[in-house]
Amino acid sequence: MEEQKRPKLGAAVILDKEILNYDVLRNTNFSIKVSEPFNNLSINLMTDFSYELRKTKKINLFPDLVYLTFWCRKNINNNLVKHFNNNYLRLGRGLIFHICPSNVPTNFIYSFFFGLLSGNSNIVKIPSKNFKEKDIILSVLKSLFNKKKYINLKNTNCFIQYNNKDKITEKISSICDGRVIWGGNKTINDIRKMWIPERAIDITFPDRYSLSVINLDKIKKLRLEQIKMLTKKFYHDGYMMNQLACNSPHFIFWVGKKNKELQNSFWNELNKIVDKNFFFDDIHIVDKYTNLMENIIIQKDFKNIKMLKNNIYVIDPDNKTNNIEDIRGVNGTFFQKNINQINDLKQFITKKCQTVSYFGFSREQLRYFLLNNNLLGIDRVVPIGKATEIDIIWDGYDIVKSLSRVISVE
Amino acid sequence: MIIDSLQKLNPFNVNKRKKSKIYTDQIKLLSLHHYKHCKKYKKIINNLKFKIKNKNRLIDFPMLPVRLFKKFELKSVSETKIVKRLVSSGTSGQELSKIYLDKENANNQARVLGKIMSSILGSRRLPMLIIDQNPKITDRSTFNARVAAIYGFSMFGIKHCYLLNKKNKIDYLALNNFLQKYGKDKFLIFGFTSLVYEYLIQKLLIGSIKSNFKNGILIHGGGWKKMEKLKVNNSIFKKKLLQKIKLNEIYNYYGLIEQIGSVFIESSKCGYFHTSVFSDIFIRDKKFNILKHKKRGLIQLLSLLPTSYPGHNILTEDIGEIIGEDNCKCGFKGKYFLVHGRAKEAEIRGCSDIR
Repeated sequence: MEEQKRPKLGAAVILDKEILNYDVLRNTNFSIKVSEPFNNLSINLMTDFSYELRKTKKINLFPDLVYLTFWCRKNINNNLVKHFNNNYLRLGRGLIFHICPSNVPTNFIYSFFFGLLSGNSNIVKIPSKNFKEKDIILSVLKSLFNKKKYINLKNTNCFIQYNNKDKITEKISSICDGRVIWGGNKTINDIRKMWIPERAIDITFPDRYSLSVINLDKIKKLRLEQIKMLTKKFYHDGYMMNQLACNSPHFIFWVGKKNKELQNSFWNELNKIVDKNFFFDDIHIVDKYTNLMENIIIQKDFKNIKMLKNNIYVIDPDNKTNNIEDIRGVNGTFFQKNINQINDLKQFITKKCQTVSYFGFSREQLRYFLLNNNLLGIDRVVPIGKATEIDIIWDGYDIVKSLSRVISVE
Repeated sequence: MIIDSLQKLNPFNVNKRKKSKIYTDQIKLLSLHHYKHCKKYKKIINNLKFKIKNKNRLIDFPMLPVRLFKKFELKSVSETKIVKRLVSSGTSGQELSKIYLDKENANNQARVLGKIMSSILGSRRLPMLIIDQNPKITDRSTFNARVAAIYGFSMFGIKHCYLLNKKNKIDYLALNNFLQKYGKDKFLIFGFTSLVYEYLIQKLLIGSIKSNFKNGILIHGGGWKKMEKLKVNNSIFKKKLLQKIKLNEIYNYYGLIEQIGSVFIESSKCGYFHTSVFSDIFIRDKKFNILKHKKRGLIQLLSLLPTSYPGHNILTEDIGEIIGEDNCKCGFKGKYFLVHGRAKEAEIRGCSDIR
């Protein structure tokens, strides 16, 4: 590791009174260090983190934490270093400032791991809302950082929490080498107005929307058991994040000859799964019903609304509805449309489109569609069931490459 | 006009059978009225493919979620007829409900509130202490629910005295004057629950008052989101008022700004909220099935008053339970129920909104 001295940094910022403190954060020895992407220390931390998190009491009550442990292990096992196709020498950019959404309990830790794996020092703005998940993650990290072997990481990374205080965001922005900004469009625009050093970069993750495509010709050939499997996967994508993540599907495009019976049996199977597995809070139902009423008022008259016991709302929008990027459901509200072939999807794709999850198409078909339709949107195409899996290639970025710099040596 | 004929009844003496008949007819008529006059309501009914004119059960009429009044302007009269615009007194940063009243609707609210309150307080108007500032001295650019409530309830009193001065401090001079003059006989006290708590329970200096409140009749309601935060429930609230200022006749009211007028009064005899002939309640589970008595769920409220805006059938975000109907020990007919607070704010998971 190569240390950079940067006077006047860190401590003053971190100890700003307005920043609520976790012990992890109150570290006056803060300094910036950079290293190679996927250096051993970062991989070890992820390994230990995953292990310790898995041991946490009642971890099974938090599906997103269970998934996090799985995600860490998967990334380590896939031997990221080897997959990191790299002919050049690379080092982290320096100090990365992560501005994470307030309403997703676990997002900040993914953002942090991205920064860490890329070889950077990190300041991570954590959500100000109270989430048990947040506390659990921080306490695991804290105990790891207090181990001798991670002293270097402890002194080069910090997690801070404050309510929207532009002053603090401005201050950290002015000393960072890169920002990772998650949030709504307004937030991102506001933050981008704040000055960053000339060489610093911004990676933004603004509001996106996602959809699914299902090949009716293929689903027709499935046995009931297989349809059940598919709906189970779809359930995972659609309900895991209350449909509020940018990768949650809102629209389902049925491709091929319209088959009402088949489509309905898909929804009915999904209904059984939701009924059995998903726990709605009262407020989820209120939100869902309110969202439905809002959509009715705002959108063109719907052709049909199917309300399966508040488990699923399935809406057939008007045929003329083409601009779908702002039509959103919540807590299991899906819009469906029939198209003849996959190429007909292109009229619905805008820059805002992030993930297309699919069933019944070959990669070649999808590649052909993606390359030959002049698309400005779609950054991710995954089989149904994998929509919520956050990856190191995300929103059109190879994050580790973006957060590190290339050094040419001749 | 139905309100006229219902005015003649004792609002707490209409039994289930009779009421059910009234509501099946009236909610249908109101729904038709709003369908004709409110485009957005019509669009909702059409999209849900609900046929108002068919023979429907009362529980099948579509309810509007209360948040819709925050997001949209919903009115069933032309702009020129609107005489009053109410906004909810929600905490800062929140979107506010906007309610549009024409003359008829505003009058009906006042009449019905009067009818309900006089069946509790009797028709004699009593001297009244208001736990707030005089709305005349405060900024009136918005006519919010708090101000609306003060004006609405102050009809039931005379010799109004406002506890708070311009600086939101207790005006001990005015208070002592009031108590000395009227404290020997029954008098009314009115205020938002959270303000009553803040000023009468927390801030009032007993040493600075020359009398007590034992002849007072407190009517309070609203603002209980704050009370939830403070973890002060109804019985603690009552106990503290008794301990501190010897106040023991206390009526809590519950209602929505979307249904002002047809409030639910908590009888001091039984501790339950009661429906009057002007309002009704259902409790729904998460599938919107109607729940039996003594089961907790989402509160749906019906009111016969809203004509200038489609607020007659609302799904609230409150959790409650109906205890029984027509057989409360306090003698009031109608459903009696408890409110357990707001449905828990969901952990919103998403990729937007940084706070």
